[in-house]
Amino acid sequence: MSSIEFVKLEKVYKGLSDFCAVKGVDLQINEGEFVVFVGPSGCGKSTLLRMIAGLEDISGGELYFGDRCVNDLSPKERGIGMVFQSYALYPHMSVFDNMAFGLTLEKGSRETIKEKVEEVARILQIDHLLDRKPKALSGGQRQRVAIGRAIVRQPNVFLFDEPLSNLDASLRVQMRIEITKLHQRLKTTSIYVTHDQVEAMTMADKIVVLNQGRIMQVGSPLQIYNEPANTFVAGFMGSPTMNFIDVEAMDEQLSLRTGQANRRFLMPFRHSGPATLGIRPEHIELQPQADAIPVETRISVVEHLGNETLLYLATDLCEQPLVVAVSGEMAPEIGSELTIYLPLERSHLFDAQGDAVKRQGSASVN
Amino acid sequence: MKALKRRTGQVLFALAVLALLIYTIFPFYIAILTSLQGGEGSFYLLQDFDFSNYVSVFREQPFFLNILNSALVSFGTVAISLLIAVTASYALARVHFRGRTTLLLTVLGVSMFPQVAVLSGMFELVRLLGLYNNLGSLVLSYTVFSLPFSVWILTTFMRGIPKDLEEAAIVDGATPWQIITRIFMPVLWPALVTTGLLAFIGAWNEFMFAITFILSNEQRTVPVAISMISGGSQYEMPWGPIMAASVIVTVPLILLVLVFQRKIVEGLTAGAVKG
Amino acid sequence: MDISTVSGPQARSLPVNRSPRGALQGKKRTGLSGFSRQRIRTAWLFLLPMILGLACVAGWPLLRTFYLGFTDSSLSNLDGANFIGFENYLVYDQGEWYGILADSLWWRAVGNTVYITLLSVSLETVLGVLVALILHAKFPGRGLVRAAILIPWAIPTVVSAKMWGWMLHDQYGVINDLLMSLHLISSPVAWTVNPDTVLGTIVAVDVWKTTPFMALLTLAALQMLPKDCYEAARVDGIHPIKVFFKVTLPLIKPALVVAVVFRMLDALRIFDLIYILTSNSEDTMSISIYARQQLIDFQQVGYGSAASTLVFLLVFGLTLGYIFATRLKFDGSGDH
Repeated sequence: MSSIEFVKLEKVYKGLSDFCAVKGVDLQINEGEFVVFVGPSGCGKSTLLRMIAGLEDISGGELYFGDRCVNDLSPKERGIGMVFQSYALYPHMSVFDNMAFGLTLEKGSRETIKEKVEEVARILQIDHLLDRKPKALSGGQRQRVAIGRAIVRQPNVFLFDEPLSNLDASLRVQMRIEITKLHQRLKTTSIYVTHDQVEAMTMADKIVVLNQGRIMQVGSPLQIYNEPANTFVAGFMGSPTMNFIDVEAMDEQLSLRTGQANRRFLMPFRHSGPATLGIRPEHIELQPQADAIPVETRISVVEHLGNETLLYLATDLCEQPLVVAVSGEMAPEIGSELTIYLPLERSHLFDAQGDAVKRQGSASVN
Repeated sequence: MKALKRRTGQVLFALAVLALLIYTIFPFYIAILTSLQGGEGSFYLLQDFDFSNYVSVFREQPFFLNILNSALVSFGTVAISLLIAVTASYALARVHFRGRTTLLLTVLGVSMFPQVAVLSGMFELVRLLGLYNNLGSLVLSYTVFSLPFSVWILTTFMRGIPKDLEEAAIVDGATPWQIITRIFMPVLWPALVTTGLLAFIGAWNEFMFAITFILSNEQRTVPVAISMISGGSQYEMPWGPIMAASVIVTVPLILLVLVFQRKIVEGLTAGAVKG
Repeated sequence: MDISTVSGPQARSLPVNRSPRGALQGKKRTGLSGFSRQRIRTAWLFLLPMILGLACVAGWPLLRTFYLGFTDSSLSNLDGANFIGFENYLVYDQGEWYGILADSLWWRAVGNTVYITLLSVSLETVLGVLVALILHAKFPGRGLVRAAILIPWAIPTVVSAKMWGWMLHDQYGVINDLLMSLHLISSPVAWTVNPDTVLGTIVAVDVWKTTPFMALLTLAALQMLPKDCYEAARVDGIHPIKVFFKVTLPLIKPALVVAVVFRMLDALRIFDLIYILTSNSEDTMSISIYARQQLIDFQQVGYGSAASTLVFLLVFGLTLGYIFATRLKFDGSGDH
């Protein structure tokens, strides 16, 4: 087990025009942490993971496992275990041989190898499949074998490259829970790459949100949800997506266009100039609230999800419809008028660069 | 009306298939017929089973030895070219390095050499190595001509192996050599069979080097041996024994083709269409 | 221009004092880790046997052939050869031109080879596509037919030459017998001897032997075609023949072009078939036969090597010309 530190890590693909996939990433991962890299496709999360694995060269900066710089070490020397998106099981070997392959290369004795593989197989509940070939296994079973192969060598670090994306939805939830349980049991430093924010929120001790080769924010799942550092994180994490409204801020006041007139509100932020107000659909209220901005809207689309209902509302505030999540029992009519209330103490303010403005005290409606 | 049209189409199609079969198989039929006939007989119908032509093939020349030579040379060529091609194609297919494309095109270029262009240089080399009139000279020259396409085909197949599979092995601590022997070769054995087959057929059939580098009857390979079967004069070719010998060398090839036709087609296509 | 903007990742590497750890490891990065460098070293090691083999047994002989072409060496006197420049190729001596390029037999061989190549390759392309279309249809016994047409390709050229030589025999040959009973010819034809028929005969036998190759490559291309094109065409009610020319042919053209290159290379170096079928007749001499005859039969290694060099240049030139003309791309990289 070991902690991991990235110092100004860079990845440049040489070509006709150099493409920079990872741009000066600094990050500290503590021993035993479960860290999730999340971001849209092409954000560099997989590249970063492969750089940790040693499968991708590091173009600049340094990577430390504990106190050791591992830039020049092979994957084996780094002591990592990796689970691939496609599982990458050796098709010609039995489950046992798949899991034992790394150990046999280390020239361990047959008995210890057998012992270790069987122990891991028991933990993963695949001990009855050891003689089968991968093609005789279901997707979930293959996934377990892939995980078993990674942990049987007791690596310092586990790397997961979108391991659940090939499974169907129900199995995915199940494996998600099992991986979390496994981590609680083994306490090995783990890095998990996904584009699925639910996986990120549910599994991570620490989430790293990446975009275009840069870290957007690092924090615990609740920090990421409650205090997004910028509009990218705010928009990427959370479903449905946060509503953004262009506003004008003057010191502690907010100028908002509702109906015919500009109205001003006291806000819990101190900022001047053009800004963006962000508020999550699930935080918008239908009942009058203290410290909430009332907005007149008209319902344009209704989406019933069962447990909740999403309303798409046309307003004067912004061109995009505002999305509001309400209880599933509600049956609103399309075209009808609806007054909603935006609670300022649950909203976020971002400056013109998209960075979050720090919240202060509580606010009250003017 | 429509049914009639379809019926006619089916009949025409069946005729086309029949014509195709006759076109390809008729010469073999004639060869077998001739080989089994002692003297004058019908052109088209098998009248007697006379194996005297087959007996004479083995009696008049060391034909058994010739077959053995051909087999030896062919298997030697296959073994050596596969051994060299497997490691080379791994490097060409899986490792990024500068000059890879150039190297691959050079290899392809070598397979385009007309044999006669290297004949005099090769002749010198063979004499230098003391391999003149020795089967080694054939293994040497055949390997050079089967190596490029073996590398080419295997490279195509190796590229088809998912990247993840190799990386899983790297993470497991396998060296490139272990990746080849423990992962790629077991996964790729059908491709190896294909490549080996093509190399085998090429070596089994080669003629120009065989007739140039080998002098004595005992060292000859089958194609040359067949070309050397002759009668008293050019106008008295012993067609019976020649056809018998032809049938003998063709039978193993026909068996190979029938058993492995899918693999052979795969190999040919991998070398050309995808390349 | 500022140098730092030119060089790659090195220019972007750490300023020494960015972090305490960066300070400890202030060394330059070349963009490749030790592991990658190790991997590339191994790759070259793996390539070494092939490179050495090809260099020694193909490259070196080729260069020697080029060199010997400029000497007067003979088979009996390989070492004591003199350098004679281009005399093997062309020399003017006492009012006469000598050398290969002045040898009418050489030009005849070139003519024969080009004639055979053009005719044979175009015929077998057309036939190959036809056969491929037949085999592309589903019918019982298709696998067996496919195996059957592979057989002519698989057997030694020597054998096919002998078989056809026998069938084309002027007195006892089946072909003459067949044609005469069908009243297509009135008297037996000496197919392999008569100068009027012999080139055509060679082409016919070559087509018989190599059509399978074309057919199988075309078939593979046909099988890779997207099905929805055809369904769309059928829904639109377009005539099958029109579909073939407007949809199928353009789609399989790249594969056809490659197959034609392979066949062209083979046909240009044709040797065995002619050697067996018509032995050393001047009517049918190909460039490979010409070169080998000078080299081995006449023992003129210098002159023969010069001819071999010309064969090489001719084959290479014609093939490159064809590749350029069809804008064929041999893409070696093909990364996923």
